[in-house]
Amino acid sequence: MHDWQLSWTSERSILVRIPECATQHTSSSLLADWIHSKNSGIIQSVIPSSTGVLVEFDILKCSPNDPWDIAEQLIESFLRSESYSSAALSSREIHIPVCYDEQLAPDLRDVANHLDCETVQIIEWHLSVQYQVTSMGFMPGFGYMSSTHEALRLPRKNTPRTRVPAGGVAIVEHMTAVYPQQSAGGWHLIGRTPLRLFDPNQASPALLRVGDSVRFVQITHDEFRSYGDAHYNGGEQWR
Amino acid sequence: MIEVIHPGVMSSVQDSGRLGYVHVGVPRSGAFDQVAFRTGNRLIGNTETNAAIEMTMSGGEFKFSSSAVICLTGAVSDESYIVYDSEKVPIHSREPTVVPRDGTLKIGRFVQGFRGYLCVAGGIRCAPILGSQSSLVSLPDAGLGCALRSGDLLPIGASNINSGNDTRGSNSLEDDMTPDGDLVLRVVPGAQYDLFTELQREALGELIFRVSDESSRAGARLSESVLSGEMPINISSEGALPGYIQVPPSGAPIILGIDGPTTGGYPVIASVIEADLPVLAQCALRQQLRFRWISREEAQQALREQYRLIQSVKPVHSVQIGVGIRRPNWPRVILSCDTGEAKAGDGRDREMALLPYVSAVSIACGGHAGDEESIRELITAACAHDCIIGAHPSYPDREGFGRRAIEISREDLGSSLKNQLMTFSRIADECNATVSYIKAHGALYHALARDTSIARWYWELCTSIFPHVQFVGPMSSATLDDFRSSGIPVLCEGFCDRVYEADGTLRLRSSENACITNPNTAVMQAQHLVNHMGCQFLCVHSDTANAIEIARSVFERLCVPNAVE
Repeated sequence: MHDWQLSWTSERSILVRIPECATQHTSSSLLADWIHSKNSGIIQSVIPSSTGVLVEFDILKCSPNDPWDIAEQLIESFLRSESYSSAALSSREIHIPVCYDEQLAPDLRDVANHLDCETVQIIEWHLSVQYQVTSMGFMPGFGYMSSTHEALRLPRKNTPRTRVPAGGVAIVEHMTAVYPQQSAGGWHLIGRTPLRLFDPNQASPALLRVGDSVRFVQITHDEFRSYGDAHYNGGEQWR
Repeated sequence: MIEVIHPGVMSSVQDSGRLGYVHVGVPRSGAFDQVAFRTGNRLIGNTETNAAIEMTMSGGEFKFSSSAVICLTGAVSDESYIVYDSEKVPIHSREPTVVPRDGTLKIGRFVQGFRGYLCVAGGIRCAPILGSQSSLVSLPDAGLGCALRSGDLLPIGASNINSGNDTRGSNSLEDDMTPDGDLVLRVVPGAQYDLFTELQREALGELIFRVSDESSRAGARLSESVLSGEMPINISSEGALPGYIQVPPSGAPIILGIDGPTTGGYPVIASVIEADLPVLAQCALRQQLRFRWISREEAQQALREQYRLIQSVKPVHSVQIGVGIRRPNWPRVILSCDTGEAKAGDGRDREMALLPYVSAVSIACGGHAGDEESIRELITAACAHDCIIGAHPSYPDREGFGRRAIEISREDLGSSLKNQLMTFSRIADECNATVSYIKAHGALYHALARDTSIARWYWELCTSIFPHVQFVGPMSSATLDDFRSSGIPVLCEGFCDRVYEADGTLRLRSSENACITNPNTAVMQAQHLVNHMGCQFLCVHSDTANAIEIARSVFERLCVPNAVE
């Protein structure tokens, strides 16, 4: 038997916990897709995150023990599937162009001062890592990405900024993220991307999804300015 | 089209929610109180999930550029009404009502509950985004809708009411709100239940919490009580659903709302059951609430029971009136006018002009007005217009026009009534006309309605002359109930052109604004009388201003079968 654990998390939801392994995030995302594709109308929503998948059932459409049985069957069939066996290969790589110009990176100098280094060092550290999207949440299209360079770890700002612009690239603790929409935020803003992370007019509205690998690519202020919405397609030209 | 004149504190378009994008951080959204939302739609014959307007803390002001059937559900306001021209017609929660073209709907401050719904027959038809019209109000920049603003125009769909269903609307679904005591939300164990101590779990079920001012559709922060001891630290973030109760290190729980984040990093001790999310939706700011642990099976059963009740709600048939709605089986409503009360000349001409628009004519029998000549003329005219005929006897009081109570012995009253009815009967026979009902006039009408013993005596007298007539009396009167239970055929009467007080009595003629003179207002009142007060006999007075227009409007809207608007 597999060691993927199921647990009820309410009368209508079951959490599938995926054991820690190299492909944990990818597996989580693939299992979520698998469940989506097998959805018979009984499943309302599927939310992948770093360590597992939350499955919400429409309990009006099934009897009390159905959700558990359905979840178990789905996991069994997923583990036997090709989708799972190729988990290691199927991670998407997304490139996100970032302008680290201080005009667009209001916290960059503070972060450098705080870590007692030059701003170029901060940029280098941020660019040096391949990140993984471990979960989506907080707002539409917002992906939590891990893990930042060990030298580049800071707690949340004492006073959250009331307005972080859309496209703001930020860091906190071991994570980095891009704000898809303008909002309040307590992370440190070290750059900005011209990419749209969330566009409700697209069939697939979010650029990121759990399990994606992400690399940031530095661009100049001029490139940032000349970047239009036409380039919305996962940063294709920056790969 | 609905124009938002004023959106109130915070209003937005919502439907059953936006599923299918939670995995990329898009909250479910949708009407927070799905019970109120779905009930409202059902009452007006909509699909259960047609988009509606959700209003928070107070209603708003909405102008209709075409007439529409609407229904208010959820929170109850202090005062709601339709303004048309300068007249105000009060409307009530859960009662489908027609808003006329160019009418303005004003919904007041909510005094019970926190979120109200304005459902419209045909539904609000804004362009859906990612498969839903629900607005993610907390994040207007996400492009998933925003709160309504003054000047917004909302298209309305074609009403899909199918008539022919003569079932009266059922309102068996009672409100879950318990305004007298604390609010109780039922909970089941959450994802990190096992990581909390026994004491902390017990405390959640025992403490009284209070909803803080920072609560919204995204979530309710609780104050007043905290769970004590050390909270478990949840390291990785996991999927979250509306109703999940997160406990941050402070110990003050947060209940995720319908627009809440789709993942969370705080440990979840419990989850409010889905069947109680509507109760959470109706929690006012600073309201006290408690939690009660129940089993998962009970929680599932509660939701099934809730949806069974929602599905038992049937459209009220008033919804069959409105733009573009067919009503082939519309029950025939009798519209009547009182006649034979004016002298020959202008007054008589006014009475005659009403006859094309009524289906029944009540004719004065000489008690308060009229004589053999007028009785004969009106019976003849009523027959010519294919109207049914009723006798309209009164106290013998021409001076007071029968509208005042007079000192009279039962014997004298009896002989006067006999006299009036015998005369009427003789002339009807001469004209070869049938008398179908008897409706007393003025003060006698009201005295009979109140006093069942006089009414019994009166009816015995009437039926000794007219054995097969029906008794006409005012709605919600003691006599009507008494007669009905004894099998006496009755017609329940309502007045299109007179203002009713909240207790169902007529506003005194001596008061200001006692009469309705606007035809659209009269139509609305008539619909209310027919659909909610059980009236099947309506009356318009020939001396009311705009009587002809009122009669024409009411007749066309309520009394003509198979009409298509």
